[in-house]
Amino acid sequence: MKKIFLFVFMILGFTTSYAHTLLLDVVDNKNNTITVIGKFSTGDKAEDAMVRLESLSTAQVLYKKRLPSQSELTIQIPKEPYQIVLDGGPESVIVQKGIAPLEGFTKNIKTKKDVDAKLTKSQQTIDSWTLTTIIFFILCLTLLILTLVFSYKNTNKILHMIKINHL
Amino acid sequence: MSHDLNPKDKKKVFRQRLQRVHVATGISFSLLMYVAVFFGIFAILLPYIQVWEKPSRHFQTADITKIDYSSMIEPIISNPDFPRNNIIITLPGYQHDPALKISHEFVEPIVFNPSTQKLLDNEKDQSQLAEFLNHMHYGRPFKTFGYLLFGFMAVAGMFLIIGGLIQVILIKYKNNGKNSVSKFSKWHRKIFTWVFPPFIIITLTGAMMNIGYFGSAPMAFMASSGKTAQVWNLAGPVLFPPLPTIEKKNDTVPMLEINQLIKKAKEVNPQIDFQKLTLINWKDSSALIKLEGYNPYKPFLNGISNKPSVVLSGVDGKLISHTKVLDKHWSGLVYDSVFFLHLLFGVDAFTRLFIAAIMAMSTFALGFGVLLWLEKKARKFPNNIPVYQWMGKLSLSIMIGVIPATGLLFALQWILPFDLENRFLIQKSLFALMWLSTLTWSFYRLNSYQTAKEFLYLGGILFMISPLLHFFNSGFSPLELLNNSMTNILSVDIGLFIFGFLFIFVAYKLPTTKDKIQNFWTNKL
Repeated sequence: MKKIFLFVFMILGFTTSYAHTLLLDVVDNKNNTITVIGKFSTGDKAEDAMVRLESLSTAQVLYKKRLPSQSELTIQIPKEPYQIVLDGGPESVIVQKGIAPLEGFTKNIKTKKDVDAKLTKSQQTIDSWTLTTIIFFILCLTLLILTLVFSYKNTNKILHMIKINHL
Repeated sequence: MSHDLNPKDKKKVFRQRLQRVHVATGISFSLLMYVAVFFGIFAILLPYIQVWEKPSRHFQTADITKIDYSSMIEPIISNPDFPRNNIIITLPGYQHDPALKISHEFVEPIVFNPSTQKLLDNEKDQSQLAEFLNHMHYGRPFKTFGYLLFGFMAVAGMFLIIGGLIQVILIKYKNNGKNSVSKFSKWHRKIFTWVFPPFIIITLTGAMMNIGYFGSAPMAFMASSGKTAQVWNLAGPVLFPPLPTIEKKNDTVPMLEINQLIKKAKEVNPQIDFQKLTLINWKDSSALIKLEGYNPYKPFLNGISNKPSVVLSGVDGKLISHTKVLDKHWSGLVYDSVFFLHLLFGVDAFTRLFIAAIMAMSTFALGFGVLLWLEKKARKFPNNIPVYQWMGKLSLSIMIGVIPATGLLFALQWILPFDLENRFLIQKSLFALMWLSTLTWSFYRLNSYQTAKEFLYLGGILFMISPLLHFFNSGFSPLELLNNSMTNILSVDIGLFIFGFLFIFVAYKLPTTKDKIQNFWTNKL
């Protein structure tokens, strides 16, 4: 039995290692530049994925460039608060807060609803339970409970019929 | 103990054990196998369903020799924000999709109507009917658990097929029995003996895809001396060799028109039906275009990993390389020939329908196998007592209940508005709810044949109204579909209608009382 469990866990372990997820790595070079590295969890390079620096105060794109064949870009740190976006297409957008320059940001963030709406949001395939899912799950559960109730009632009915049949 | 027996008794014990293990494995995996085969029928017809389900694909298929590709492709790839390397252009007609698609790993696909050269409002994730039916075929909705479950089921399928054939050879079965049990047994054996060759290949490749790649990890680990446990790291470069990295010259030069490049590729190899173009280092003087497709003159040997191709210079159309079907490494040829029957890439409608018919016959054979097991259980009950058994009810819900659930899936495709939020989630959830409600209804009703009749009627109606809903909500009448050469779409409507009609016909003919049922099976089979 132990061997079977070991085998199942081994297979499950290997299956999870197949994921091909885009990853963002940002390195502070301590000279007012950052190095943005995009790569996949498998180790593959993410050449041509779009890198954007977006201002947190205006939502303007301060910098944008696709990753070259080396899959990394060294970028001058903006003077204002910003976010780093690695855009790998639908369902694969990573957003990270930008590192401040050595002297700090010169502008402050003005949190505005319209700015926040314009900023790119992280889009990773995460299986979250929405309200629709929860409603359908509860309905499914109710049906299963009803199935058990009907099964119980009908089984008793049949047993009763068998009993009468034997009398 | 069997070693104390004489040779004759040993043979008898062996046959008995063979039968018992066949029954135990069969009944354990039969319902899963039925689900895989049932949805497999739809997966076979996937190219047609995926065009039927999308309003954006309701247009006349263009004559591919007269399409002005450049006017659609050039403005997109000239956009400085668009990636310049590994741009993929899927030509109209690939998998029966009439649209032209420009895509890249990191960009949302851009879709065109090649006849009008207009951008299409692609439904994206809002419409995934065909894909979902295909996912149901191999357990994808349950992710890793589903893959493993369906994979082991495919292994069980191979074991059952081979074991069953050994039984047919060793045991002298009689085909002239008059009761329902012998009729079920006869047809279970007969059909599986007929469909054995394609069925064994399909289950073998299915097992390979679901658990073979995962399961080969220890072997991959050993073969690579511990470098990798992922078999694709070893097999991938042989089956799907990556494009060589070409150093960019970092200049911008004009490219030859795509139309001209396709023409040049056709001159190099007129046998290839080109399906996909890959643009490498586009607009750079090192630019290349790889045109790959399918060679219908060499079926079974290409279409999956083996894609014959022509590589041309993007600057002047100079031939860089030409890969023919037989240039592939032998392992690729074996891989394609084994997987061809399962994946059916590039095959015509007739072949698809033929394989779908084999699969439909297999669902009947599986059904007879389960009925045989259930009928043997039912014999223990007197005629005036209804047979109320959990496996019978579960089988009824899974095997017959799947019909109205799938019918609802098709009907909802053209009932739910395409801009509805969570459209696909609602569609598949209602499908699950309907399927589960058939289980509840099966346990609620005492008479299983009456329940089956109701499910068949409901399923038949849902399948029959699906094309009507499609005609009404798409705005295309059958005549318009025919006149505008949208026969792929019309054929799905006709198929659904016939499917629904057959279910209603069977429901009408199916008796509901115990004595009539016995007569039904013995007279009709």
